Amino acid sequence: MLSNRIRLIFNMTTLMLLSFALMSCTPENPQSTFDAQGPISEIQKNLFLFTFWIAVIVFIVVEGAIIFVTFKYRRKNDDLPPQIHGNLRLEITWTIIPAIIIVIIAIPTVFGIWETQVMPDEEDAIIINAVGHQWWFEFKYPSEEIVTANELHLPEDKNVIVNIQSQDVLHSFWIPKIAGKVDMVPNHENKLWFRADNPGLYYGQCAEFCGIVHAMMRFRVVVHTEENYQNWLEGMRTPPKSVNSGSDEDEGRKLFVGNCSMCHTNDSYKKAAYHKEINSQYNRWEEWKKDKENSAIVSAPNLTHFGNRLTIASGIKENNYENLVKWIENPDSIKIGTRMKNHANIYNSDKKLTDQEIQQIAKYLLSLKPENDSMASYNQELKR
Amino acid sequence: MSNQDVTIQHGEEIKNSTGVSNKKLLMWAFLGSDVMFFGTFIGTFMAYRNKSLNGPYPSDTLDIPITSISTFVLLMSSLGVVLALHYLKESKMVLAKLWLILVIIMGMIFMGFQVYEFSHFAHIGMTPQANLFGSTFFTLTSLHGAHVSLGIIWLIFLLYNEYKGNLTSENAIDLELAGLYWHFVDIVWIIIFALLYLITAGDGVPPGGLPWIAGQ
Amino acid sequence: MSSIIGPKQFQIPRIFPRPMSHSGIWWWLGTVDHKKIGTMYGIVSFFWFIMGGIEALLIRVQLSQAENDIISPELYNQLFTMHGTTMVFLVVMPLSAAFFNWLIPLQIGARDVAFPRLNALSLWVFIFGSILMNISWLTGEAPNGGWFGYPPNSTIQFNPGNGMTFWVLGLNVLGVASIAAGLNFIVTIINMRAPGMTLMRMPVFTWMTFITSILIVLALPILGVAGIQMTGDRVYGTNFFNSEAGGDPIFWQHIFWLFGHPEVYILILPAMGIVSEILPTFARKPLFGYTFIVFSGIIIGFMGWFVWSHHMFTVGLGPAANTAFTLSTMLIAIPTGVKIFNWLATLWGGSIKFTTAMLFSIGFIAMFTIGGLSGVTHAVSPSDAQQQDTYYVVAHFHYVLFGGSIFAIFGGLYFWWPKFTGYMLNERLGILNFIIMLIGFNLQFAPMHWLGLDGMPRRIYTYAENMGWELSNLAATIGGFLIAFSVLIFMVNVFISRINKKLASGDPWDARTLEWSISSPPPHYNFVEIPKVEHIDDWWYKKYPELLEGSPKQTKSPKVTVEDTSNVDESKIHLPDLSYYPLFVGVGLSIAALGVIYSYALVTIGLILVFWGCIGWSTEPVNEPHEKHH
Repeated sequence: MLSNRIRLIFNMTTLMLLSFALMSCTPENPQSTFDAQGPISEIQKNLFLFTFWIAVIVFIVVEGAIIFVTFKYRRKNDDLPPQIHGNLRLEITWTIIPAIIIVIIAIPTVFGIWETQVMPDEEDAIIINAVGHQWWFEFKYPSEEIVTANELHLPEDKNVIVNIQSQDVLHSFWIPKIAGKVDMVPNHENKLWFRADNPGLYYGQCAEFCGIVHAMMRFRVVVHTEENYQNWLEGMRTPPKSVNSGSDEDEGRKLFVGNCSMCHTNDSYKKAAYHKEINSQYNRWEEWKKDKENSAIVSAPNLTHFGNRLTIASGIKENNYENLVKWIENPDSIKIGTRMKNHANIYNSDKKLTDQEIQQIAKYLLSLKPENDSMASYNQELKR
Repeated sequence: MSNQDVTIQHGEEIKNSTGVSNKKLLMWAFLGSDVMFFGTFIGTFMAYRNKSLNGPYPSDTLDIPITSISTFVLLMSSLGVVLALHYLKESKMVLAKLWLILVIIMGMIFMGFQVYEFSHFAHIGMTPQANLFGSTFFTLTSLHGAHVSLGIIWLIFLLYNEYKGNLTSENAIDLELAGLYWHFVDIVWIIIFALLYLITAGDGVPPGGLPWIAGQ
Repeated sequence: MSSIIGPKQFQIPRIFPRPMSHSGIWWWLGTVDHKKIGTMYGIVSFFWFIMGGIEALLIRVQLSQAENDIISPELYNQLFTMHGTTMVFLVVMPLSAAFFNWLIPLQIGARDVAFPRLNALSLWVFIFGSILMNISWLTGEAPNGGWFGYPPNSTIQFNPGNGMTFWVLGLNVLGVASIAAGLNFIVTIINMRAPGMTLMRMPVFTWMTFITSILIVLALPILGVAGIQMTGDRVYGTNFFNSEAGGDPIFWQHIFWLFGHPEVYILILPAMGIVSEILPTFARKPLFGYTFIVFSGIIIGFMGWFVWSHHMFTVGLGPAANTAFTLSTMLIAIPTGVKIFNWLATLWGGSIKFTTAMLFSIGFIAMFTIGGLSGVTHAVSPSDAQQQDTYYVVAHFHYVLFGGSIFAIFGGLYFWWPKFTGYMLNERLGILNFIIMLIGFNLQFAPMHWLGLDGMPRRIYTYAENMGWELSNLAATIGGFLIAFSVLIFMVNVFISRINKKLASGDPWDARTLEWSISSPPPHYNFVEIPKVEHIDDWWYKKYPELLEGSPKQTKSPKVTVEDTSNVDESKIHLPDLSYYPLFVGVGLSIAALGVIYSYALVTIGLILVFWGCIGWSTEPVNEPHEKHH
């Protein structure tokens, strides 16, 4: 009969939904919010699961009632069913019960809000200034006077307070396994705090629509042991390995200075480089604003010790020679719509680079690692 | 609508559920939505108060004494509308027309003051593009002025019909509706005058310096 | 103004004579009949439903595989912006308006709405506004800033070109249409109910329309202001959202969502009204708890104003504000939940016939429950920090807007189709329509819940290979095509049924409210005699007065039948004459808006048309003097 068929459809749909739900337990995926690796994401996950299971109960009750009703009360004859208009007691009951459930959910929620959104003491915390740009992330360590881009390095088990800013449009700073997102808003300084429990490599992504290539604004977070973190800090202040004169790397260095360094700084290991870079970025931004169509200068990621970075193009491709050559040759092949492609002279004038020149620049960039290369050890751990 | 007669009637002859004619109810509902409209613009003005990054600032530009005169004129015009309606209902047509003419003139005087004020502002560099104050001030007052202007046109139209003999004590509701609209526009102006002129006209350079800008 | 009837009635000279004949194209272009207007709303918004659906399918094709490159990021951003804008403003709202137009006068026992020409204006402003917004596709620059257009990304500084200007002007024009309609229905429902129809005897659909209309006239002006401010910024250089001048992007979000949250109740309350009519009809028992359902609607309409910043939990408002909005959002779940239980109780103990309309209504309850529950998880602001701007949100709002509003609208189409057209839709095709839509819908949107929890953000034109998102995205794409197929089945159903023309009586469902007491389709004057109303579901109790005293097992045959129109003397009937002024004004408004982008000449032409149209309209009598009638 029709109603049996319909009951079957409803049942199948419910079954399908439940089986899909089982598929969702994939904490091993790089941006899964179920794999909480710090107290903030843990609290957020637990609050979600708490609400979720209550919702599942309500779901079973309601959907169960629907399935039951469609079977039991299908029309069997022409008899009129009892013409009930309402039942005040019942209606009050099913107003009060949801109200109680809401209160039950609200209480831990409010505690969770205050726990996750009130900043801890700044004295014991690492302070980061994260600035959103179209379409890359800038990370500054004001007390360490280090500036980098698209890859955030942190020690485990220490509170981190991020001052979240934006240079241009809305962006959002999100590392799903570590903490929920906070938006990057021009003219505002938002704050986010978190702690990472375990060393490892974590994925971040911009989560507020920010223009043409929002989809490809991502970043990596490297959480170190305290010792490796200190090594990293030290490395960021160490000059890179010197290159042999006349080598490809040396040629690449000269080309870099001539074609890239007006936008990309790569020597922030020097003393007083931190404030210099802040000024430079500000000036580049002002330059770009003067002529948004044709300016040859834009804000661009800092490339100090680029050789140790895990990815290029803000978390899009693995940082290796092949990808880097492809990127320099034509950024659109990896990430459509970048300012680099639209503004850099090497794409928009007669000053195009030859293949050999591109390769030399790539080799040079990959050679940018600290002299003592204290960072090499953990890189191995992180190559998943 | 009666049961026997299938003819549709409109206007106040309908035996309807509230005793308020459809047109009057429409005007009240419309004014309710206009409250949200002006309320949002006024809210914008107040939210952006003291946030302009550069001048001209209210204290450089706004002139309370002059605007008080135009405010007074507008307030008196509301009284005028009440009187015009009263005399129309009593069929005292000469007085009704006189007061309606006076209301129109007073409305035009108010608009004249606005035009004078705006051109003066433009001269001293206060434009909608200059800063936040310019943007919020001009949009709010211009839209109010547009409402006044539409009201004046409406009143002129009613005056014309009074002369033609089409507007009489029997359909005085049409003037009453215009009157309701006019009073609303007046009340909005009172709020604008109180907030933009009386309360914030002394604002100069924002206290506390400029908002934080990325780059630091 | 139109009652300035005097011996020297002033009409401005006409460019061409007033249409009077009840045939031909001008019968439609100049109509002021709520039934025709409703039909036109329905046809045009269904067309936009197809367009919005195509936009969605293109999105799904692009996302079906990782690192796909079928659709460029620029086109993709336009597609999702227009899909969202179309579905909200050009589909759900006007489809609801189609139902308001058709049903409100019929349900309250009136001959038309309070202001028939204003009603026509709403229609034409909607039609030309929707064309205005979509002309942008032809210029190659459709809006690309998302359906909520957040600055600074939507400012002229970061988004040069005309795309977002089309968006903001289109929205303002459409807002005029909605506000005019809202005002009209408020006056109609308050003032034009049949004798004896107190507020608490109105059908639930009428109640929900009433609350929706109040929300519309209060919320749309707020969007209008945001639109004017953004137009000022983009076209005239004002600074409202210009961060360089100190403008605050968060301010746009506040204004937008102060509109936007009441807007979602505007989108769902009519659907709840439709479902509240269908369930009792096919369960053969009254709606359980009429009073609770009406009051919960009123409470939702009221509380909906206090929750807006739950769309802004990640924007940095601070723990105090986030707590306040968390609590207010949780509270609004209560009246919503109450309705679900009342609907279930309506079905409980009933004698249920599974017509297509009933299936969609039951489907509504099932799907809306899921959407409502995911909404409750959003209210928890800490975990919302993980969900915001991910596919989890996309899942939530599609469950309530598609599984909710669209399902209810389809149910309403199947239910009232005989009343609108005079013939029945094919039930077997209808059931097929429902089943495939239900399966396709769930296949498309259920996976989005865990895609979101798995970290997939919204509004991305592609995603990396190693994220683990491919299977769910592929499933969602297949689901999308199934939905498209089910819509095709609906269209085939309409076509075939029109050919077969299985004529419908006035009351084919043995239903409960006044619209079923007249023929299908109704005569142009609706009722021969305005009914005298004595109960809720008055038609039902007029048919079966024995039910007033108890619950007999069987009903006797109906005591009254559908109104007989054979003895009506049509020459005595004077409904408002046709008018072309609303069309003029509607066209003029969109031309003026277009002129803001392209040239002041166009603005002038548009405004002249508007003014001329308004003056003509206000001096035009409702009816021409008798000798002009045919």
